[in-house]
Amino acid sequence: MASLSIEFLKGLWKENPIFRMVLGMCPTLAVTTAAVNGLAMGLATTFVLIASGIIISSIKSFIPKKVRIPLYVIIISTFVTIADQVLAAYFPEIHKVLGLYIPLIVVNCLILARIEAFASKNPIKESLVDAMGMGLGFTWTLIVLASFRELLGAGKIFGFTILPASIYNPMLIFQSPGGAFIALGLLIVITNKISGKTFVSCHAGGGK
Amino acid sequence: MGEDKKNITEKKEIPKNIVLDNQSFFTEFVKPVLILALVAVIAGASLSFVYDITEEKIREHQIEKVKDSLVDLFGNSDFEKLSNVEITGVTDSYLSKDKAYLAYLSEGQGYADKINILVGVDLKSETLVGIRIIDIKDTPGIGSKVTELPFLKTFEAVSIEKSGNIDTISGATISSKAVINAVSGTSVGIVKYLKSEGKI
Repeated sequence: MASLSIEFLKGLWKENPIFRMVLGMCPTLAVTTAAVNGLAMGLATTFVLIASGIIISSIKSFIPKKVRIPLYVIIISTFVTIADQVLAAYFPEIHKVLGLYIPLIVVNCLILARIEAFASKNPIKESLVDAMGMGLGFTWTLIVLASFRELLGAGKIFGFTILPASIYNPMLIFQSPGGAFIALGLLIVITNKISGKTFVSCHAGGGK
Repeated sequence: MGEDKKNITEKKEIPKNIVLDNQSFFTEFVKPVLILALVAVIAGASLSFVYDITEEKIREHQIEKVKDSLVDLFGNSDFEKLSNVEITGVTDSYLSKDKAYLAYLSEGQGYADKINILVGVDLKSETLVGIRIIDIKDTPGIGSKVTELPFLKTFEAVSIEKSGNIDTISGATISSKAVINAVSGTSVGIVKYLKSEGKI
């Protein structure tokens, strides 16, 4: 039990996909212009992460090493397409908001990374828990990053005005891709400060 | 240093007299291909299965969306579908019962995929009533700006002859230009065609 909770919790902070492993930057930087987009992207990614993690973990002994990457890609994109179709058919309201982001999940290297590094080597239960932890870690980080950008770039969070235009002049750069890099950099600085992590420069370390 | 590297690469060279028996040939080359093909077939089958069950529902939503957009633009959806309208860029067209308004679906090539646009035309004054975006797959936050009201409003009450002069959105030029071209490229043609056919 203890090891399962460790697998779950590591995705939330210690091995957080965005702040720690810096994975899945493509959707992270592209969609985090508003908090609701971050939430939608996070949840959709979590679904694909869990579904493909379970499948890969359960058939891992049949997968020949040589063709594992194309195999993973087929399985991931199948789930992405299924999610897209099912949402469009049965939850058109959600699909209206999420629809644009779903195809982006295929290029999210977080999913491929977790499958290659974890699901293809661990039992189903651990893989499920790992995928859930990583998915939720991805989701909350996206929400924080997107809220940060939305607040500074438009004075709003989840569409609600926090800083009215009369007292705050929005910094439009935070809505642009350049601002995404700045915001992400600042947040990584903050999280490194909180967890007390320090980096030794490569040169000082004698070219390690 | 250079010599060291040379030695390493030479050592790694594959022995020339390697013999593959049938057993290892199968596990090395045939099996991976077969498994990959099998997974691809299963994936394809499950996708077509999902497509089969969802297709009808998706089309229903699409029709509903068109109806909602009609209500949004004209205040009602009292329209009749026109058949045999063959104009490039126009997929479906609808005429209001009193023949005062025309609505049609037009397609423009956006950044990611085709953008599906509903265009409303006031036939008396030959102006646009407005447009609505039915389907778009362009980048969220960038191309998706064309679905927002400030851009859609710029089409209202513009003469169909002048619809090509509408401003694009800076930062979303490809998507907004696709929408503008899809509207201006079809609106004059379809009105002319309907007139010549005596349908209006």
